[in-house]
Amino acid sequence: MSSLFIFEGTLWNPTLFIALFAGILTLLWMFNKLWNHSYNKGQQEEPFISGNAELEEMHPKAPSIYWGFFEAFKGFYSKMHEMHSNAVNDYVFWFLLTLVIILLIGVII
Amino acid sequence: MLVYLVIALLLALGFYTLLFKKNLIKMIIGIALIENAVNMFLISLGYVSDGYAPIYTIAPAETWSSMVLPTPQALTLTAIVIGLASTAVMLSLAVMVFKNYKTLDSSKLGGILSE
Amino acid sequence: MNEWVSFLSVNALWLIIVVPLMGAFLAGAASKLNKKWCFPIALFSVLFSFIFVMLLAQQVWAGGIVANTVEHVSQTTLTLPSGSVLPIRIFLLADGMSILMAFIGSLISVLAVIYSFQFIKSQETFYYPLFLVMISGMYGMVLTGDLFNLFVFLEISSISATGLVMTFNRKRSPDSAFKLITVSTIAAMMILVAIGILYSQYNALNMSFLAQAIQWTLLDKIALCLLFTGFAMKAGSVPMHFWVPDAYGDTPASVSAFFVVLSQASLYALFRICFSLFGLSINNVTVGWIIIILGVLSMFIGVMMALVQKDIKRLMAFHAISQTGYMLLGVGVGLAVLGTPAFVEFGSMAMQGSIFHMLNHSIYKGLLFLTAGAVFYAAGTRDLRELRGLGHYMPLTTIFFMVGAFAITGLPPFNGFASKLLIYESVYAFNPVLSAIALLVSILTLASFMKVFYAAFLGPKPKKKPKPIPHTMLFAMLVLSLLCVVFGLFPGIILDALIKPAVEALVSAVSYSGVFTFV
Repeated sequence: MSSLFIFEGTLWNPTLFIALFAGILTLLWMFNKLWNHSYNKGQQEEPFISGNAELEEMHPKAPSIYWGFFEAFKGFYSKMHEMHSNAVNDYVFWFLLTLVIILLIGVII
Repeated sequence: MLVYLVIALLLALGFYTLLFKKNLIKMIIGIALIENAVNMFLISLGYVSDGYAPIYTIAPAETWSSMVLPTPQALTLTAIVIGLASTAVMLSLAVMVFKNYKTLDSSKLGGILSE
Repeated sequence: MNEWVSFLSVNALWLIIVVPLMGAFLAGAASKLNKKWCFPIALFSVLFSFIFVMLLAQQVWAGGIVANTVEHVSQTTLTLPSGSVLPIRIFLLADGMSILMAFIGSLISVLAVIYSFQFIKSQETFYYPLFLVMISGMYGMVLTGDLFNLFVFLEISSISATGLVMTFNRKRSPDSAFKLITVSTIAAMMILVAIGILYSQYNALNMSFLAQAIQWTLLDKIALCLLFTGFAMKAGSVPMHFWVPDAYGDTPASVSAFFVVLSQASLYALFRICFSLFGLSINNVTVGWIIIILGVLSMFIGVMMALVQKDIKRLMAFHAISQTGYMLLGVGVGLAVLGTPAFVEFGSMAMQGSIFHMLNHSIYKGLLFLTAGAVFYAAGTRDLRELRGLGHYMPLTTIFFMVGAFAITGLPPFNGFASKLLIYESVYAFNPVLSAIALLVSILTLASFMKVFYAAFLGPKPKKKPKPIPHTMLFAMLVLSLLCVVFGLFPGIILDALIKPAVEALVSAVSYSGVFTFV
């Protein structure tokens, strides 16, 4: 299984990585020097929304960006939500259930 | 043998209280029952039949070979003090829960989750 | 002067545990005079422990196990001084695995104390003493060689952790704290029953003495199951993980970063019990498969629940559960093949991957919790639906969050990649399905962190300008991200120096059980 160790030898060369990173950063910095920076800071930086006014709800909220995933797993998540009820009794119940299962497995096998 | 039956009964009662009672104070009492059962179990480990108390200066010289073991007593004292600390913290937390939510029902505390 | 130095170096083991404890009481007393003295006392005691952990680490890596009984001087030889027949006194023991956990704890504790200088402005008399007691409890849990001592320090750290949950006294804090202490007390009581059972069988509480005396009777099996479930509950593995998001979510960020270390100390206790205490007589295939199943459940359910959360700290707490699953998976694979020739092939590498993952997880999870604290400090809210556009004003925090997010998903130049690659490859050699589940969980982790990054840092500028982050907080986050990058670029050095001694110390039950022999 010598292929598992890819840290030694030529595949993982940290100095090469750091040199590449520094080189690409230098390249980008040189591009930045050659850029044309003449634009209006306040006005021309805003996103262009075709002249409409910017509303408060324009930034989609975080929970809605994976909507399709959540819809597909709705049954799973509804079950998980009711299991994660906030009551201590359920927490102790799960501990006892795990303890009983592990005791049965451990003692019998 | 009777000791172990009592301990098992206390443990069962303690867990029953924790699983099925909704009042926070009743849950704290359930935890106290479990702690008492475990302390009783620890103490019962050191029993030597017809043993004397394990103090060399008080026990008569002929009982020095059959003294009750002192180590479980030390362990139990430590466990009692730890149980005292956690019961005190739990009770003060129950007071704070009542101040914030106006109820001590554990199933009603779950409504504030922002999920 | 020379005798002070030799005194300190000989007694380093119990000084590491006692100095934060003394510092806690000193900070509590000195704060009555002037509140500003809490932080220097806390910083001094934590730095003291850190320096002594490094010195002790040198000794352990050079010379094997370092042991200490409280009345007598520390010794590295095998027999106890004359006159002691009963192996019942307070033993402290540091081998490769313990010193690694102490190193992790000392690193995160120093950075958390530095971070909390500016983060906790109003509750210092309450916060610093409890934090120092919790740190001392963690050191006690990992550096002890005695079962009952383990129980006592476990309870010390749980009770002080409960107090720390109440630092920011919001509406939900007493509820989360109550859940934490109920769960911790029940786990500790079950552990105490198991300790009582073992004591009744063998008349000893010393772990290395028990390791050579245990036969695999029915009562021992019951004790193992009770200990296993108790410590697995404290570590936050899945069927018993419900307290983790509540407890991690309502504490201040620096305390959450240290709770991660506490969960890992419980995981260390679990491994110590499975490998060293019961090592010579355990039925390793069964216990290994139970650990593997717990690990896979933790990984999967942790990350699936993390995708749905709307609170940034609860999301990170669910990720802590899922990463704990990785550690359980790797060590379970190692335990299941222990003793067979497959151990040398891939089992040892699985364990190295898991223990390296413990180190990396503390670092990047600490970094992520500290950035979540910085986000809360700047914007005043933790809800992902109300945060937006912080990247315009906090470029450094954005970079640190990105480093942490890339590290947790296992992208190459960061440290998560090194440990996860070890776990993937070795688990694949054991059973390909488990490795496929681990890879899938990585992808879902990346998805949820992209969600957090999008919500908190991208987007249009927020309406009110966020508060600027103080320099001590930025310094702590900078050190952690530098460690992420360095440990990721040079994993071979870390593996040889830190992790391989730990795995060898854990696996060789023979050397652990031979420490205290009695004449």
